[in-house]
Amino acid sequence: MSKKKKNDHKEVYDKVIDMLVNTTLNRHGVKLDKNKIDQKNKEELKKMVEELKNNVNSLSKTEKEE
Amino acid sequence: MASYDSYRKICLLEQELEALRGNSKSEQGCGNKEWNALDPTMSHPLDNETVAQEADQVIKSVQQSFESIVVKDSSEVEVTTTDTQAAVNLQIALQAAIALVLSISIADSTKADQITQELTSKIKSSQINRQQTYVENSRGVTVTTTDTDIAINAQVLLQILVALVARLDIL
Repeated sequence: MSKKKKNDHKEVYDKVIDMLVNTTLNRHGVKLDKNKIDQKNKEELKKMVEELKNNVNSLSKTEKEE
Repeated sequence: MASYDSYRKICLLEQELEALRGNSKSEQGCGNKEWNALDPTMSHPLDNETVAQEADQVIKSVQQSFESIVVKDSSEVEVTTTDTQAAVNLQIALQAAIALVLSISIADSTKADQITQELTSKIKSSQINRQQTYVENSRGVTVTTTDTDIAINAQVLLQILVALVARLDIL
């Protein structure tokens, strides 16, 4: 599979996930409140997401290498 | 449903009575009675749900992974495989992270719970993964296996998490 095609797929997946999150939040009439999270928690969340990203990437690493 | 469970209870009681009388009723035992498709009084072994169970039955994720790698009469064989338990734990960590982000950014905790459940249950599916690899009379072989189902599930959960934190200006 060419790299371009892979990227195209990624865009579609991202859109689908984005829509899923949007519609779910809208259905409940909810908006995520940025101001509810202080800077310290934001930093911790950022670290946590980065770590999880690395873990997921290492899980599917073998697929990418192929 | 007067089902297998009821049958089993009655059967066990009968067995106890027979044992007290000094007889052995059945060699098979109550739990091992084979299901007979032609017997209308027997409910299917997989059909033992009750109405009460239906109410709280959420979409459950069934993940099973069966992997076997056999290496025979070979040398210099390198095997790398996915630790399924670690992968499942990662999936749970991702779900927990989604729940965390939603709970700290939505004031109404009931709504936060509902949204978490909706977002994570969307991707739950029945997954059974079977992989069998057989290496015989080989030299210098590298075997790398990945549980694709789990990897994809984790990927989708991560995307949901990233989509949520992006809305909070965290990334």
